[in-house]
Amino acid sequence: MINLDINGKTVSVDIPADTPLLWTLRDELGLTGTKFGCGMALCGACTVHLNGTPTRACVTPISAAVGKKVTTIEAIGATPIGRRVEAAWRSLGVPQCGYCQSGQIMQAAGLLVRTPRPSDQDIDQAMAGNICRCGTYQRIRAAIKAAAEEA
Amino acid sequence: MAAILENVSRRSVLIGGAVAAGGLVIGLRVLPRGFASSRPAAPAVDVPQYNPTAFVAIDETGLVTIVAHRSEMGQGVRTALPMAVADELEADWARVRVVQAAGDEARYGGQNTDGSRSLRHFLPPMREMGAAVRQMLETAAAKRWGVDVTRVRARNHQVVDTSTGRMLGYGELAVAASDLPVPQPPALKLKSPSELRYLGKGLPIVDLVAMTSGQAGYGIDIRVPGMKYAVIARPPVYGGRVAAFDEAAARAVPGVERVVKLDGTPPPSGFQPLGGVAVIARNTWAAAQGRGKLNVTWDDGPNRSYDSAAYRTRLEQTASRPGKTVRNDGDAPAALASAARVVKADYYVPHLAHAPMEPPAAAASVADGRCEAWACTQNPQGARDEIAKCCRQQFSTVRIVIVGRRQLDLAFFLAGLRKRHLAFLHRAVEQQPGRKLHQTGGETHTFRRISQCSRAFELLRLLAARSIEISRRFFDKRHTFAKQFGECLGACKPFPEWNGLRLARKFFRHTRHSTPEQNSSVYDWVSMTRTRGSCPDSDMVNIAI
Repeated sequence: MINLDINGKTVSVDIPADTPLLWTLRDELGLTGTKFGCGMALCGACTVHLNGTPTRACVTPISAAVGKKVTTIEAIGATPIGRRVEAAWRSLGVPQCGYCQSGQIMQAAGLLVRTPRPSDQDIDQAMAGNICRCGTYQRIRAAIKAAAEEA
Repeated sequence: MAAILENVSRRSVLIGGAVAAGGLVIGLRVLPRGFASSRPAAPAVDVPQYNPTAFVAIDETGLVTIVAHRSEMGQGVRTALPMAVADELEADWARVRVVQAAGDEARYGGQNTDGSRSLRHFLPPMREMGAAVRQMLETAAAKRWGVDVTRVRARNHQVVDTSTGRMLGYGELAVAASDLPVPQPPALKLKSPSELRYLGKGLPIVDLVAMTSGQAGYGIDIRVPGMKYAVIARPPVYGGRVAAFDEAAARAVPGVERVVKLDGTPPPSGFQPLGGVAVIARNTWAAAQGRGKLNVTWDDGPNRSYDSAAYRTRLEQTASRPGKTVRNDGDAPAALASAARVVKADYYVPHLAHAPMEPPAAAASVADGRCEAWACTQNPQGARDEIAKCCRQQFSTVRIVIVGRRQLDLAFFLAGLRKRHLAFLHRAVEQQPGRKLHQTGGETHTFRRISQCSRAFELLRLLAARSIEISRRFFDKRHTFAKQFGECLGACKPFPEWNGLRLARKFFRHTRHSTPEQNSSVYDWVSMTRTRGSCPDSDMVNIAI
């Protein structure tokens, strides 16, 4: 059994330690808000936080998450920054099809933890690994700035 | 667009999976021009008396439920059409619930959400439906108060007596309104543009909060108690078959529970299974690991030597030779010969992968001869038919539930992908009755667009300063754009900027050419590495005057 701290709760899973966190969250724990996009850390749809740092869950074995605090899209709204990011996303109507947005929000929240007042360059750099097929990038950038100004 | 509005309040109507009890349920049936299903309408077995396309309901608490019967893919239709109903209904958007319809042709008509048709075809009838319910609520209020209906006015989820200011909520009026006849055109009164509250103003999409909190459900997110997860090794060459594989190695992966060889369908397989090996496991990762151990030996089949570059050359050579004329308006060659200016272009469309971010995925449950499937499909009825065909009608009922949203690009190609995946899935289900499966697929085996080439000539004569060049190419009069365009220029005229535009297409010649592999149908398109290309060659003259 492997114990994990997911969204503040300790959960036990009985699966191999090399199982990616993504599939553990989605298939074993029923937390489907974290999305599978590419499985190769190329698209950012699976982004979660490990101890507050944005991390690609699809290439992170659960062994690497043991002893760390895992935060997913389902719980990021309970943090002050996550709440601001979600509010900004809603007020600007960022999502279109919505599939990538869990990862976008997690990545943006991670950015604001480290960089409370990000410049355009900071945003582009931090968000470059999160792909949006609908092309909502302009609204994402505006929402990040709006969330930063709320602080 | 002729809409038939029916009051089905007295019937047990399934709405959002629950029987609407009490209150008002309006069924709307639409008999649109050009929207008819491509096949003869199936007899409505379960509901023989009526065939409503969409529903709006108001219960006694005032909650308004609107069924979204088209598929959402990021285009916003789950918001836009309900918004039209709510606007005419004078509903408070905060008290509107949108539920997704299952695939049900008898109830909703054709649901194939393609061709950019949802708003063009359904905006007017949706508005009429909302207006009809609003008028019924007004009539019910006027009766309750014993006043003339002209004295009352629906406003934001209430009906107001304009003389006294007294008000009745929609919930208080729903049951009384359900006894009333449905106003039909011309008694039906739509709002004037200035009275519209939502249309043209924009509202947040109905899934906004769900999408920003990880709660929105996509095809890959379906969870059924006890379900298993499957991934499939597919033939790397279209038409290929499994020659051998290592079942034991796959089964040795922790979490793998079963390995199933899937029969394929000889080309052209349409949306039927392509064959392969499915690995069923307790989670997706274990299934994918098992697939990686299969070491499948493939018999690549008739397309083993297919070369897309050589095929392109052959298409282009074919297009440069005379072909069969399938349409000929005016004398396009003569017009081109005397034209002041001729624009000529060659086009080549390669095999294109759709590449949505949302991976195609479906879930199915089989029990007691019934199959229920959940899929991110834009053509639920087509998917249902393909499942039934694939599984040789072994199910008495196949029910398709549309879930989630997926990204849209070249829409109907992906519809095929969804259907094909479903067919695969059900082949797996067939061999494991009673089990629930989940399956995901990747971009390596997407349904690719046909490779095709075409050549177009255009003559654009600008006869007046205000003329607008139209450079669209009408390869086929059935082409959606042509229809769309015709509608825009005809009855609808939805955009002010189109005013003053006149399009006269006096000359149009369309020839079609066959390569040895080509099927006669222009819409016959097959996936993966081998396609059947059509190469239309259009001589076309558009004159804007």
